[in-house]
Formats: sequence, structure tokens, C-alpha cells
Amino acid sequence: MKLLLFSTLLLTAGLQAQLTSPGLPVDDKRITDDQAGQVFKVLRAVNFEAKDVVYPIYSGRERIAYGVSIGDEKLLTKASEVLSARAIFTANRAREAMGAEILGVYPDHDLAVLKVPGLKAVAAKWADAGNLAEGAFLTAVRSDGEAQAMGVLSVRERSLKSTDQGFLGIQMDPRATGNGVRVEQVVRGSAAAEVGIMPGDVITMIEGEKVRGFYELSTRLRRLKNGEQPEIELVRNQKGVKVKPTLKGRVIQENESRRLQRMDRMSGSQSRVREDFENILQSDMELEVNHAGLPVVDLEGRIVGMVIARAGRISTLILPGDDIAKTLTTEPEAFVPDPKMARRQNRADGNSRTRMNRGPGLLQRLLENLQRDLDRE
Amino acid sequence: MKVMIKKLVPILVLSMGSLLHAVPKVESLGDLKKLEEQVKKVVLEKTDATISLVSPNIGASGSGVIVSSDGLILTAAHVIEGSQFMTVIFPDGRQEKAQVLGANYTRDAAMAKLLGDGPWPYAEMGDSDSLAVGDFVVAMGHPKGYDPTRRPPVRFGRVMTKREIDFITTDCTLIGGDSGGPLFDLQGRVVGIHSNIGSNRQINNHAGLSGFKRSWKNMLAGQSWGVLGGDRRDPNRPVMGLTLRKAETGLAVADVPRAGPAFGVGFQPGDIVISIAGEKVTEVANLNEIFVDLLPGEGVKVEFVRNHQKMTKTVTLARLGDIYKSQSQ
Repeated sequence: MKLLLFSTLLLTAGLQAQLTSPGLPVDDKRITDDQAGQVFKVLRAVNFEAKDVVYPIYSGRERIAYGVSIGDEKLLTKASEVLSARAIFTANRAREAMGAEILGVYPDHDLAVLKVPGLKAVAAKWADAGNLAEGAFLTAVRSDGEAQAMGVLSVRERSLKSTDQGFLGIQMDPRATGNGVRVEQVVRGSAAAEVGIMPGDVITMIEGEKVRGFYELSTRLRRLKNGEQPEIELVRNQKGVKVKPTLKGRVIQENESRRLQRMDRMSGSQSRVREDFENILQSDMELEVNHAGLPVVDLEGRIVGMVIARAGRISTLILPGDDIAKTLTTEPEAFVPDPKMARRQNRADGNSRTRMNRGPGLLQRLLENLQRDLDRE
Repeated sequence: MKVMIKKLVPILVLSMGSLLHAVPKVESLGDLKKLEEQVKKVVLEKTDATISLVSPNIGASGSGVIVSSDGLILTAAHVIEGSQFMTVIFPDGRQEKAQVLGANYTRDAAMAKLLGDGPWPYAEMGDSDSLAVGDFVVAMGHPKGYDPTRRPPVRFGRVMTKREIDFITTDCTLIGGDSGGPLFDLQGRVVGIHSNIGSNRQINNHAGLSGFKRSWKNMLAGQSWGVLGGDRRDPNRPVMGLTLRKAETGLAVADVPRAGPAFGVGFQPGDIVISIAGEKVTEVANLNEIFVDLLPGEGVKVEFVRNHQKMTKTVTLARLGDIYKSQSQ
């Protein structure tokens, strides 16, 4: 595995984090703050429709996420943020707390459908995100019509699921360049093993195109899908051989270096579930974990998606609107709390009961906190 | 009267500067849409010139940008550190090789050149001198290394402040692997190269392109010098061998060590230095801006006043370590 690990454990050079980096001069901060204020004011014009479908989701004294109305007294939100929370509720526009329960989940999308009895809200109209160009402006819209953040589309729709990517099952030397790439080792049971690729073979072509190194070949393979059958030409004992393997899903875990993890950690909170999405947009919008569930609109005011994860310093992940619309035509899975989580929840409930016994004003306090949160927004 | 005019001059210059460079305003949705079109155009046209650079021996990966059709690459000095050649990966997965040229580590600036004929996709160069706080910019690169499932992720932001030796701070968020990648202005010209970050997401630092231009000749010639983050005790730092103090009209020579080149050409305590290498000098702290681009062995013209007479001498710069080696440093 050594050689492959070399490629996956790439030490990304530099950007040494300067934890003591000097801040911004007061005058410059004033200029840029004023400018941001101006931009956010202009954005109110595009946030118009989306603001009517956003609802904050609370658990106890904290706002844990947002939900988007899908009609029928239902909200769509990020599952992993609400499933383990106890006593979740939202607030209507009159700032009255309304209890919510989990109706079902779409585990692949980390989505949960909440039922909020009595909630009168229009359903969001999901727009197609497929024609957004990289660099397109996006905003995450709050219920007061303000943008929580503005950013651009950093990376267009793609799958983050490594098992979707084609995997041949060979080890190569990343330093290799020239005419073709030498196979160093073959993974047992892999697509390569099935068609008899052997160590020492030199792969020269894939699907009729020459490969001149590790990165060219691995790019071609990873852009193919699990199950595809590329034609591969190789040289073995000075003789040309053609094979047509059926690619399998990539199972290699890409471990990030500690340095990269540290850079992400120091730059704010990250969602617990932030990987393996099948269909995702990436933006540079600066959000926190509890902003998951905010609707994302483009400059035309179309709801092109929903914030699904904060995934590090440079990355906010967005489920595309068309994908959400398609998902909602299917039935969600019933939510069955796993026993471990249920135990944890029982403990938490026990605690809250004790507290409740000690002071009957808990509900009152919750509502006061809610009021304060809403005022602050 | 004369004194008053003198006092007025800098204020006038300052206010004119701020008039000339108004903070870009976004006052309507139309303005915002225009801005969006500019950003999308930069992305569409400059993505192909934004490359990933992998050091074949160390395995470290950073980014770079091609700035000429014959394949000149600008990147960060700490990306090419310890390598003679780099593997170049284009956003479409195409793989090439580049030879490392020179680097000014103090500026975190470096150059490399693609082997092979080209023509290569490239982005034109702008400059960072004309950038001001609030100017909109676009950052690209290969964060966390080359990833075949995506093209270089786009980050949009503004100049938050400008720092010493042409460094720029923006709120375009960067992370490891972005190092060496390009910062573009809205015309798609390279105005900076990603260098380092602070824990605050608004602190992302880039080596300004004007600094690259000031170090151009020596980098192109394959020279490597300076220290990342700067270090006044770097024994390879070029020095004249003059101890200078701020004076009313320039910098007064306080001491001329015998081992230094300035002593050799006849400098004396009491001389008032008014310009070095064509740049007026008024603050000792600003001398770094001049010397950061120079190498030991280079000659600099020093203009000074002695007994009310203006004089000029050329000083061949020496290594700090050669002059002060008797001292324990």
C-alpha cells in the first residue's frame, strides 16, 4: 500500500498557519465592514421569496439548525443535527414556539422531514442548480430576509462518494513519468486482478488516449464510474496487450494530514456529517454548523439548494435544488433511533426531568431564550 | 511659508490617493449582477492556467499559475523548497514537468518553467501596488492537493488590508495546498500568490505581484535567497555595512564597521544617506522594502550629503555573516 498512500496522504505544502497573525487595522476594518453592509442590503431584494420558507429549529436553549418548508406542516432539515436532539421545536412568524417531531429520514442525503402541527407555511419552490456556473453568486437566507452569508459556487455538482469512482486496483509510483505507467502491485480481487494485470506491466493507453504518468492515469480512472469498462492497453514483455476490466468502486479512504485537519479546526466548527454526499455543490460561504438547513438562492432569487454541511475552512456543502425535489417525490424512511442513541437520549431526558422538578419555570425560560434569539437575528 | 507648504504636501497626496481609489461600491442588484458576470468570466478564462504543483521527491503539493504562453510559472517559495523539478498537473488531469528557477523566500515568491514547447494556457500579470482595501478579488488553487473530481475551487472576496513587503490580506478563504495559487483582480490579471493564513477566516495572506516584479531579474536568473517570514539575523542577508539612524533629512550614518563594504568606499559617521538604489529613504524600518530584492554581490547606488554637498557612491553588498562573523551570532 505504500505507494498509493503516498498519493493519498499528500503533504499539502505550506500555508503554515500563523496562529498569531496580526488582525486588521481599524480603518481597513471599517471600510470593509461598510462595504459588506452595503452588499448585504442589496441582497435583501433577492432573498425575498426564500425568507418565507425558512424556520429556525431549536432544542432546549439553542438553535441547532434551520428547516425549509415543504408544505403540509412539514419542514426539511439536516438529519444528523436534529435526530439526537431532544424536544425540538420551531417558531412561527408570531414568534410562538411550535413543537416538531421527526416524520422520516433520507439517510443518503442526511435529510430529515419534521412535522410541525399547525404550521402554516408555503412550500419552497426548488430550482435546478445544474446550470449554475462556477463563480455564480449565492446567498444563504434567514427568516428575516437577511443573508447569513454570501459566497460563490466554488465547485459545481459532483459526487463525494469515493465508491462512485472507478477503481482499477493497481499501485503505481506517483513519480513515474514517460510513456506509460508501470504497475507496481495489483490489489487482490480487484478489477485489475480479474483481467490479469500483473506487476511490471506498463499501462500506455486508456480509452484510446495515451497516459504519461500517475496523475494522468488516476485522473482518467477516477472520472470513470464504478461499473464502467474502459479499454486499457499495456505492454508486457515488450508485447502489446489489451484488456477491458469492469471497474469497481473506490474503497480507499483518503486520510487528511494532521496539519490540514488543524487548519480546518481552527477556522470554526464543522458538521459531524460532511462527507460521502452523492450530489453536492461546494461554496465558500462562511457559515457555522447551526446554519445547516438554510435555503440557498442565486441572484435571480431562485432557491437552488439547501445548506447541508459546514465542511472546513473553505467549504460549505449545498444539496442542489433539483436533487432535493427529486428526493421529495420518494417516501422517507421511517426514523428508528438506534439503541445507543436512545440510551443517550434517555439519560438526557432524565436530566431534564430532574431540572424540571427543581424549577417549574423551565418552559418559561425556554420561551424567553427563544424570544431573545429571534430578536437577535 | 515654505515650511507650511512642506507640511501640506503629504496631506494633499494622501487625499488625492483616496479620491483616485474609491472603495468599489455595490449599490444595486444591477451592480451585483455585473460583479457576478466579471467573476464568472475570470473563472471561465483563468481556470486552465491554475495548476497543481507536486514535488516528486517530497510528495508535498501546492499550486501555481502560468503567466506566459511559453510556460513561466509563479508560485510560493515554500512550495518549491527543496526541489529542482516539479510535477505539474493541469485541471483536466494532464501531467507535465517544470524546472524550478529562483525564489525570494522573504517574499514567499518563486518561479518555475514548464519544460516542453507550449503554447500554454496563461493568465496575464497585474500588479498589487494599485490594489486598495475593498477591491474585489478571486482566488483559485488546488486546496488539499490535486483532486480529479473537481476543477480548482473558486473563492471570492476583497482586499482586507495591505501589509509590509507587498503582502496582501484578503477574505478569500485558503487552506493547505492552495499555496502558490493565483489571486486575480476582476480583469483576470494575477495580482497575488497565496502564501499563508491566520486562524481568523478573514486573514488569508498573498504575496503581492508587485513584489514578484521587484525580485524578477534575480528569480529568473535562478537565484534563491531570503528566509520565510523574514529574519533580520539571516547571515546571508545583503548589507552595506552602515549603521543608520533617522535624521531630519534622511538617515544619518552612526557607525561604519571596518569589515563592511561601505567603509571600503569611504563612508564616514555623520554622512546623511538620502537615497538607496534610487529609492528615497526616511525611515530605518522601511529599508527592508529595498533590501528584500537585493543579493550580496550586487552594487547599489547610495546618495548622501556630506558637508552640505550631495555625493553618490556605489556599494557592493556583502553578506551579513561575513561582516559580523567575529560577533557571536
